[in-house]
Amino acid sequence: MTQYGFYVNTDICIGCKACMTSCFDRQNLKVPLKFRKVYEYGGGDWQTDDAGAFTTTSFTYYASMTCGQCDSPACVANCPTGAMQKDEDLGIVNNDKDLCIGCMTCQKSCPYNHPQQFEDGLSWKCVMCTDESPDATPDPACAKACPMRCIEFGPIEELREKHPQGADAIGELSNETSPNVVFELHRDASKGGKLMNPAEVASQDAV
Amino acid sequence: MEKTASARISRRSFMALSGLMGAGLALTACSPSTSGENAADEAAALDLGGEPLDYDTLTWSGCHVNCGSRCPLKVYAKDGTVIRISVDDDGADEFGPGKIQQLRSCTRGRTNRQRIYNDTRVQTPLKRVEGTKRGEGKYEEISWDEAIDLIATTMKEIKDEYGNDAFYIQYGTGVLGGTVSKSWHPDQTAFARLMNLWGGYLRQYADYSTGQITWDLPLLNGDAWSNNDVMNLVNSKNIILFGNNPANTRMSGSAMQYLITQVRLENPEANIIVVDPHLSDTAVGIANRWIPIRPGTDMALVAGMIHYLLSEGKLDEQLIRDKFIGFYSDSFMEDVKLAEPKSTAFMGMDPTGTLMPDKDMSYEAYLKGTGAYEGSGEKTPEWAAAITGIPADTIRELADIFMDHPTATIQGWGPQRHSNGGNNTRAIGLIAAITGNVGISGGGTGAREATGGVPYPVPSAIPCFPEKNTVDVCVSFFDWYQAIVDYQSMNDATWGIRHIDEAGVTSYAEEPGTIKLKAPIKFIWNYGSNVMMGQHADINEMLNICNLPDEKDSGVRMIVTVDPWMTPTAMVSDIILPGTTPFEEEDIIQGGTGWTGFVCIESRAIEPMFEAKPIYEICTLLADKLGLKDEFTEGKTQMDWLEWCYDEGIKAGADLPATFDEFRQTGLFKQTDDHEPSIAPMPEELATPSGKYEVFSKQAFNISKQWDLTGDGFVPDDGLDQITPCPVYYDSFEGYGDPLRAEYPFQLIGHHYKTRTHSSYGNVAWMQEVAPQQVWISEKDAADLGIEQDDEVIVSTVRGRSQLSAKVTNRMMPGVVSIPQGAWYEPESRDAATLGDPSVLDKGGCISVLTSMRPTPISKGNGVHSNLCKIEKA
Repeated sequence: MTQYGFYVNTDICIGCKACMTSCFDRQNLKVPLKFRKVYEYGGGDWQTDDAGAFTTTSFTYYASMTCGQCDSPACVANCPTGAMQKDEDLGIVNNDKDLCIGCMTCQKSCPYNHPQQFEDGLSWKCVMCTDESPDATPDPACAKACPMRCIEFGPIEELREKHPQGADAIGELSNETSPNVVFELHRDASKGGKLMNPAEVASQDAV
Repeated sequence: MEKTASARISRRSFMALSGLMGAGLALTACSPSTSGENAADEAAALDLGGEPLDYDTLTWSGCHVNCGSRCPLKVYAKDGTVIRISVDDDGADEFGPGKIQQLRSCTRGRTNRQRIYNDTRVQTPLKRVEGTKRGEGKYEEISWDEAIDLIATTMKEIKDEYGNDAFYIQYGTGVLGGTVSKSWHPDQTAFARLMNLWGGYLRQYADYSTGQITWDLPLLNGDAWSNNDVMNLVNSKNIILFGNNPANTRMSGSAMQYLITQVRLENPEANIIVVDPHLSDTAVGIANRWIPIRPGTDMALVAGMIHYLLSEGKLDEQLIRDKFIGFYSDSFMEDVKLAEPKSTAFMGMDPTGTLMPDKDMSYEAYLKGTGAYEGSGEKTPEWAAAITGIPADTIRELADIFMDHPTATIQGWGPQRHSNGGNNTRAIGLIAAITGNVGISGGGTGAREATGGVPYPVPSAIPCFPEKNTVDVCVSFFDWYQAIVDYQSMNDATWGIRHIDEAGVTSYAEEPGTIKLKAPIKFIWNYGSNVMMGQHADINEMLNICNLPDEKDSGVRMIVTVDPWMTPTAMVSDIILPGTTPFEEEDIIQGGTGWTGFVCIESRAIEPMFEAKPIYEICTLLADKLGLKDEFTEGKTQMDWLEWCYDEGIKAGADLPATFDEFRQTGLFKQTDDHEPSIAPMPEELATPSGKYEVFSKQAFNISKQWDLTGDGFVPDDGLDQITPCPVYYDSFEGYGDPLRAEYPFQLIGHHYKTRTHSSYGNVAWMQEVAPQQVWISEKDAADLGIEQDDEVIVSTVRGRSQLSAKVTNRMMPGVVSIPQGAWYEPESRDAATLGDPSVLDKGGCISVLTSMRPTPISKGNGVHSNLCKIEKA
């Protein structure tokens, strides 16, 4: 088995969202559906001196995340019909549309709120753009879209080897389900911070 | 992973088989819960794999907006519909000398399907309903014949009555980068070609991007544009960006943000500092440090730094005495004589020969508060701290960084877009030069960066015959509206009217007040332009100006807009003509950065939608009505012109295929070389009157005595506009020091945003979804006002009101808010009775309803980042 995943260099990411918009076009996603999301985290304080001048520890960084194609996928574990499964060759998680009942338990249980309910009422998610390849070769549009070349795609073991300093969690994106992602941590990521762009990552929420 | 042509189930069988033969362990390892063929069968039930995209054509097109980059786009079409947009993402993607990088578009480029297929598309020619006001937005459909006839007839009437001086081609950058279809530069457009054949039109100088840097920075150094190639910054110890935010502007995968990211990766030791009122995306991407600064106070920061360096003896006195004039007190009176402007290439010629300062106005005197500046106090870092909001120690630290060579300085075009932005731009150039960083590797001039490239010698415009233009005066890109209100008030000394020659070079008056407009503007041509209700300023006042009655000396008679979309500007037009998107026509684009250059011939991916026509065809129809068709077309179609460009390119040695057909077939061509990134030199002689850096500008001194900053009584004489010979800080119109701040407590700027290039892409739902239009406000200010994240708020200035949601963020300094520029004006009401009233609420988050059209003192440009506002919860 070759488990595929992403490397995301948050240290040079500018939060431009080309990963999101290339996905919109590639997957014909209608607003507000989103597979990829770019989270903005920030924090810090401001202080004013006697002259009215400011000192700040303000910081910001972005983290682009799609489905983690997790090793312990909560969506699979919680799917009431067994529709959601993890593919054994590529490690891609997807559902059998014949079994999916559109309950969106997958989305509710996902730490990244990832699966989206399409107009057909069923759950859809990132499949690493395997959907246009007869032999399911993954070819994710987002990785080839990134203007700053922050996103690399490939076998996760190779990515982890290439980026040994990488992390599997950043900001409020924690590792609960062993996602196959490697984050190069932004120079300010160790400061933590809170989500600063809720409207921008708001997708269609599970009801 | 090996790609096979067989179906997915076969690949699985193959893998299972090879596992059985070679490494059974692997099979076991990847099948924890099932085994063998069974697993393949079960897994095959997953919805993975599928048919390749089914398309008819794959062609090259491009994005034609004014971001400062240029990107080819791959277009997949099926049954006459664009079904996917992709980018140059194949092949090598390497960066460096002799290497070719991919030309990936930015986020906006990816969303073009929603621009092509958009509810706002103009479908047929439209005529404003008689009796309605411009801006009410009431239109009736007319035929192309009727529209062209009406326009040509009105043009002839106006020409008979007023001559060619009454025609104005509005600045517009909605169609930029093409060769035949281009809205910028206005003098290179199809309509300019037609108008020049017909006698000419009133031209403009400078533009909405660079209104002040174009003229004010050269007061210091004679050059608004040169700086080190950004790739030379791999040699910098420090890199200081003033208000430069390419991460929201030049943000494609081959533009400035990409380049400076490469610099950071190749030069990780560089200390990269961003000086900006907001923690920009550029700072997030590359900077080690953000220094928040109050908008429009850069010159105070510079004064504080130079005061510190001078008093500590840290400046290179020899350099200053050799290359600068007007700095030291002891040589001031001698320096002034050297700086006298003696030709009309400079502003402020003094025919009387009497204009002389009677006191010491040197920069040293300014810093010390002596001579002409007596009583203004010393410009210490402490003084600067109170104005800029930057602590005095930080100012000293930054000054030392400038002296720690090599330090590169780049200014974006935000600092100059203030009411006192001319002094900002000069001051930033001054700190770079006076600290000895000009002409050295890793240093720079403080102007906007150079970005390299390997250009093809292919024409980027068709001939437009500027030599046939009989109108020899021109107006500032920003002041044109006054030519609708009262053209007779406009001369060189009131509204900055200048002479212009056939090459488009402008010149100043020999004697103040002698260059005058000859006619009101009666006809405005907007092509790919959302200026009038967008980029310009003060939409409410503009609505009033647009609706002035058509009288002998004032009031516009006809506004024509050509655009694919029903923009807010289209809605103040008399005639709207449906234009094509780049995907509906053929053209040539070119560009490149670093060590890669490209040229791309674009194909028509789909037929023009509805009744849309390319601009060349539209102008050909008009030319026919004006009896100029043969001269206009020279017998050529749009495609013939592209072949002409190709031929000219081949003649000039362009490395392109042997035939035009092969050129068209392939579409995109890229080339590389191994040039050294350029270093902007320290010239022996600068293009200033003295040939030296003029810290004190005699040009500015003279016009401060000659010009009438009230514009002949139209601008309040409130002292908030000043022409100062040195780049000093003064309390300027709606800046930090304007007393109006007691009533309108927040400084409001309008930073460029990732969702739009100006207003282009402002109608794209996908873009609004990933970065909604929000006013940025600091956490402290929001807390004081009871505003929470994403709350709806109303921002108001003296001129208007706009509603949008709030982005509460510690990325904005307290006391400052920002509404990203370019959102489309969406008034709550277009009712004729209230049109143009400041009380009308805009619900589009359009900052242009809040900004002022008061011209800046020297350049007569747009100081639209200087606004004082109030905020309240909606």
